Amino acid sequence: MRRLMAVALLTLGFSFALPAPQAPEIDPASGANSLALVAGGLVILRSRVKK
Amino acid sequence: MGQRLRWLTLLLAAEWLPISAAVHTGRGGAVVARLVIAFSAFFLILGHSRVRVVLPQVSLDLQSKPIGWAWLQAHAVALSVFLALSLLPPLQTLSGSPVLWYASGIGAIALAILAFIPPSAASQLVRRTGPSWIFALIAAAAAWRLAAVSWSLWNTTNGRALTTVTFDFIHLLLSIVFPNVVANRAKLSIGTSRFAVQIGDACSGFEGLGLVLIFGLLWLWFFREEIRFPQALWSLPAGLLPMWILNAVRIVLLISIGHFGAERIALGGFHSQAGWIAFSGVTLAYAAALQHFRWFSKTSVRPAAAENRAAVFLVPFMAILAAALLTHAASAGFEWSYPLRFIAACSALWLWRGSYKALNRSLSWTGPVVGVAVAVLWIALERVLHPAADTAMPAALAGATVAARTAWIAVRALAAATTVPIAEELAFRGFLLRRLMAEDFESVEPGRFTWPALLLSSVAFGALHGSRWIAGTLAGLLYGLAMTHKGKLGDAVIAHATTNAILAVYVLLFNRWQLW
Repeated sequence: MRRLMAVALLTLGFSFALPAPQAPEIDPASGANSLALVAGGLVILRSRVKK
Repeated sequence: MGQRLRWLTLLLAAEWLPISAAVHTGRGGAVVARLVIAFSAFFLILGHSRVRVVLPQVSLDLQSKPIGWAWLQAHAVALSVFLALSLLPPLQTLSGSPVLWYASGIGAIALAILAFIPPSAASQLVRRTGPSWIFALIAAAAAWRLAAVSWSLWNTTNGRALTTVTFDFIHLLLSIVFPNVVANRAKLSIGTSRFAVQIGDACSGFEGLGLVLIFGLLWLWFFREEIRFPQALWSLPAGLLPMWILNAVRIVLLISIGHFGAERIALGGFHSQAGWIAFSGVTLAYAAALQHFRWFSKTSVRPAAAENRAAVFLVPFMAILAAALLTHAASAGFEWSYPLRFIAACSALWLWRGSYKALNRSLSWTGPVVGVAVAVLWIALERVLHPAADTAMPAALAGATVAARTAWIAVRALAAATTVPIAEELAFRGFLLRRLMAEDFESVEPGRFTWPALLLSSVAFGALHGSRWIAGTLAGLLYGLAMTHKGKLGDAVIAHATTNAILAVYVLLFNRWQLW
């Protein structure tokens, strides 16, 4: 979970560091929705791994 | 040590949100922020391997040392100075204040670190990292230069190699769909006789490629023990290529939507959402492929048919998020297809209906009481923080027929009071709050909580409420307490449903459409 959160948070951080989001037509709020969707999908994927 | 770092992260994250809204980039803050992010990432990665040996001893020593409240007060002072200087317009800045601005900002971070990790322990850790800071500085500077070089690949004034290749690929794809493509390679404009667009810097797909590359590298690094190298490195180009292709497909679809008469959808919702949809699809497919294919992965996975307890709690919320991306993409300013979110949530809840029967669904008065309190708080914060928000009914809805308007409002209110609270409470309180406390989240009784888990899950909940993140975070805290008060997830659901129902009535009675 920690590693998953690290992946999600760092990707979110870099998404703000990239220059392209400064484009006015890109909706940053949708980025949070998209990352939440990805994070949820990853949690489900990871929960299938046999420990 | 771990707990202190979590508190420190939480504090800095909680402060970052309001600061990011106040700080303007007129002093070159964006460049410095990028350098600091790159340096910190390299320093933590390089330094961690050197300090790993002494971490258990440092953690043991920290247990006997309290949090440094004096350092925390100094942090508050430095942060106040930083915020005050940030609020000054750049032109009215006193000479020399940029130095003070940087010093107060960096000082605030350093003082916060010292509050949780005392100077003696911090000094021991830093000394242990040896020359890591030099390598981190060189790597950060190299990354910064590399960013400038890569900028020239897609920037339309300084090079645009990637933009031109993307333009040619779009031209090729568009020629398959339309017989008469109108294209000007020098001006990077392309389309049909009815609808054309100009390929801007961001349209090269650079942002998507960058994000997928970062995601892929992080995934390979964090799960390196489960992955087979070197063949897993092939996954990087295999992930980047579909992202670049999907970006071109996005622009072809945008032109097609515009060509067939829906210009406002093409340039509105579709333009802003399609990239995020592609990013979500590619990253999930990337992670699934690395985990599923034996060529990449050393681990084995449970069969897809086996019940996945995380999915039981998360899929309804994910269904709403996925539907929201699609309904936003299909909107021309107003989300007529909102009912799709309701249908998606109902479908997911129906799919796992058997699993929900096992949950404790008894209720108490805690739910309605907390729900009313959150509604009052939300409305009060709205009046204080967003006094100038446009409260009018969206023009598209106001101009619709009475039947269409009534039907849309009915579904919107029904979803707000039923599927949204169920899906969000299952995800944030049922899963995330408890998962932050234990790997086997269902072993955590709903009556138990730790403050870091409650705060983190509430901040995550707040982050999904956009500009209303303060109200969202506070609501998350109160719903969490509603659940833990008597150990019933149902109380959190009822609290959330009560809030949303009151807000729906408030929107309709007092014409406060900004809340929808």
